[in-house]
Amino acid sequence: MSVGGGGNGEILVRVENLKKWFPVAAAGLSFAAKREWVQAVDDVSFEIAKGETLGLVGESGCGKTTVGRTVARLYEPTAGKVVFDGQSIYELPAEEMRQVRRKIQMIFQDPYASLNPRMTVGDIVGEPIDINRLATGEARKNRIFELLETVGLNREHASRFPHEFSGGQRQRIGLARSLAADPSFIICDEPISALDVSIQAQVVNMLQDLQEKMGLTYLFIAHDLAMVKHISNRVAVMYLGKIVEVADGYELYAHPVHPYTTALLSAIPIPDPGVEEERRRIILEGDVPSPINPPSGCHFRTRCRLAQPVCSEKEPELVDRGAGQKVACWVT
Amino acid sequence: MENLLRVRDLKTSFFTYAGEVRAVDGVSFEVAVGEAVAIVGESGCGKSVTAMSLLRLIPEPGKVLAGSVELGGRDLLRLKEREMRHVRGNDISMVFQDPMTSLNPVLTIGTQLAEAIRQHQKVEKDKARARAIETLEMVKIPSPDKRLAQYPHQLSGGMRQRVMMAMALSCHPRLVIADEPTTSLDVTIQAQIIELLKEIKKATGMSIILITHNLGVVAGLATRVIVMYAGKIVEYGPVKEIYQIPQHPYTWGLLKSVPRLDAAEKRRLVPIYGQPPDLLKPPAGCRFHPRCDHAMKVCREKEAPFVPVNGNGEHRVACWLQHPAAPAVAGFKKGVPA
Ligand SMILES: Nc1ncnc2c1ncn2[C@@H]1O[C@H](COP(=O)(O)OP(=O)(O)OP(=O)(O)O)[C@@H](O)[C@H]1O
Ligand SMILES: Nc1ncnc2c1ncn2[C@@H]1O[C@H](COP(=O)(O)OP(=O)(O)OP(=O)(O)O)[C@@H](O)[C@H]1O
Ligand code: SF4
Ligand code: SF4
Ligand SMILES: [Mg+2]
Ligand SMILES: [Mg+2]
Repeated sequence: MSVGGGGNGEILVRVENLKKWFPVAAAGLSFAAKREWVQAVDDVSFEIAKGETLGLVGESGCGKTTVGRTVARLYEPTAGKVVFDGQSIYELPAEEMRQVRRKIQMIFQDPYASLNPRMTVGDIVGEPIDINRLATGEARKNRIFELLETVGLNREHASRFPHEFSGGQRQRIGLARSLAADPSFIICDEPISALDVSIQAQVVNMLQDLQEKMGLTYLFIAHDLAMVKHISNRVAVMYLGKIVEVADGYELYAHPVHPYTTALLSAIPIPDPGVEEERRRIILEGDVPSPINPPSGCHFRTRCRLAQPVCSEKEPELVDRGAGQKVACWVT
Repeated sequence: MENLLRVRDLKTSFFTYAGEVRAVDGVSFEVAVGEAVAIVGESGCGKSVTAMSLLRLIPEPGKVLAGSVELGGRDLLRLKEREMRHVRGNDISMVFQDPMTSLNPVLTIGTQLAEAIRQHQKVEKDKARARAIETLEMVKIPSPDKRLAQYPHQLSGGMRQRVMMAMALSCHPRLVIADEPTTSLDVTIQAQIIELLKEIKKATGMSIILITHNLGVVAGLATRVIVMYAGKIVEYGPVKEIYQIPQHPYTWGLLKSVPRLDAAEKRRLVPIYGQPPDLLKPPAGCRFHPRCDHAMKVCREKEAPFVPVNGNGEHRVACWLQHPAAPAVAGFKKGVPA
């Protein structure tokens, strides 16, 4: 498999046939009713090389966050396997999992909701240090200062509270906190969506600098495909619980194969009136169907312009089309 | 082009316990008949307050302090509240960012649409129903007759936004103000809504004020762009000029801090450092100077005048770099022959 500039080829994270289904609360008291499931993530496989960024895009509700949380084992999987740094993490006993958990960190969309408002910034950043008993006393304090400086804050900020900071600064605090445990893999779930454009660029540049300096590996979840393409080596496109296409970001833009990828790309506005005038949009009709009873065969068939009879009968597999591009479609 | 709306020197403040927040501080612009004007800028720069001031919907402790808002020759700021109510809905209507907060959760779509129609026009109940179906068709909602019986929570986000749009359009307003109508929506749905706005504009000749921070959305829809920063307009001009020869360092910043989907190679993003000022005590001089790479002594002391960039005066900017005595800035192209 080809990996872009960032990675050195050695696989850090391997996700195999991952499934995460949530039970639907049964309506009424009918005990006879068949149990229904939200098939949030349904048979997803991918790999991420050391030092690489894999982007994950798709419409709201397609299962991106669930992938992230299940890979971090914040959710127990329904089925499947995640191999992290050679260890199959769902099989690990509690104590060993604790060691691995330290290496896998997650940062979230809403930096405010994920920071305890009653703790000082220093204690928020210091908490993973305490939990993992990484340092105490003077060494702990210095480590906190160092982390704050790493993310572009300063040591004076340690004694303040989260509400005294702007959105971008809060996202930095969250990042300093996840770096405190000395992770090798960070799952970034929409880390910039809530920020203003000028602040987004600050945070993205910082994520890139940290990756270079510390050799971090990222799973970068977002729905802004332009930003995902910018920050990622490869991009995976999800639709209704499944990955439909994976490719190098530039390749994906230049030669999208899956009809959903094509539509998604064409929906994204480009800040250039000249280009916009010339562009022809593929407008996707209708909404994403419910993940409770997704369409048979190819999940995208209800909105696909190219759908054939086979698409409703059999599910297309994610097949290698060369140059690291994988596509799940019967027709294209 | 004939002007539909003419805003002059609009000033709106909020009188909070901490002091006066000058949310909109001397804003002037025009909207021509059948034109779409975009207002862009970061969070808190005064976009929504500008829109709410036009409709005189500023909540306590806010107040429109000065200026004029002329619509077809009448100054809306001087109308009686009763007359203003007639303007809202008949002449100008508004689509908000979050449709859930502006739709009533316990009433059906049909009831709400019919009510909106009957509030502004004297029509019979069944006529109103027919009109409601018509408007839902206009915003391309499939099987509209069935939708009338549904409640807002039974619709998807994109569908709710279209219902909001149907309500705004139901009385054939001359101007629709859409405040971040697509921000909370997926890109695919966003594309549907923008496409829809374009079509309706073409079909009805109505004017649009589109408020957004997404410069991409603007490029496809607007004819003119207003760039706001900290309560003021810093640049104003035809959409092509704003993208091709932006003059204000803040506009440069907005354009350079986002990656382009069609970029052929990776280039590092150029962020705007720092963050927008607190409008309780905005910086002296040019409000952008603490974040500007080109700030000069004069920028810290005196506000830059709003000057035309080229001969026809269509494109204007408030920046000291326009001054003949200002030093040349690399990569900066000043004006074009008119
Ligand atoms: N804890 C849960 N219990 C039940 N259903 C859930 C749960 N979490 C997520 N889901 C459902 O699983 C599906 C995938 O949700 P998920 O949050 O992973 O989507 P997403 O791609 O992250 O969307 P967004 O872009 O809106 O964040 C959705 O249908 C969602 O309603
Ligand atoms: N009710 C209020 N009381 C006090 N200040 C207010 C109130 N409403 C708005 N403001 C202030 O007015 C300024 C402009 O706000 P406005 O809502 O117009 O920003 P905006 O450009 O629409 O931002 P956004 O992109 O976040 O919607 C902000 O500084 C805000 O804090
Ligand atoms: S498999 Fe069929 S329905 Fe699915 S994307 Fe391909 S052509 Fe469309
Ligand atoms: S007036 Fe001065 S500080 Fe303001 S944008 Fe222009 S150069 Fe920068
Ligand atoms: Mg999510
Ligand atoms: Mg607003």
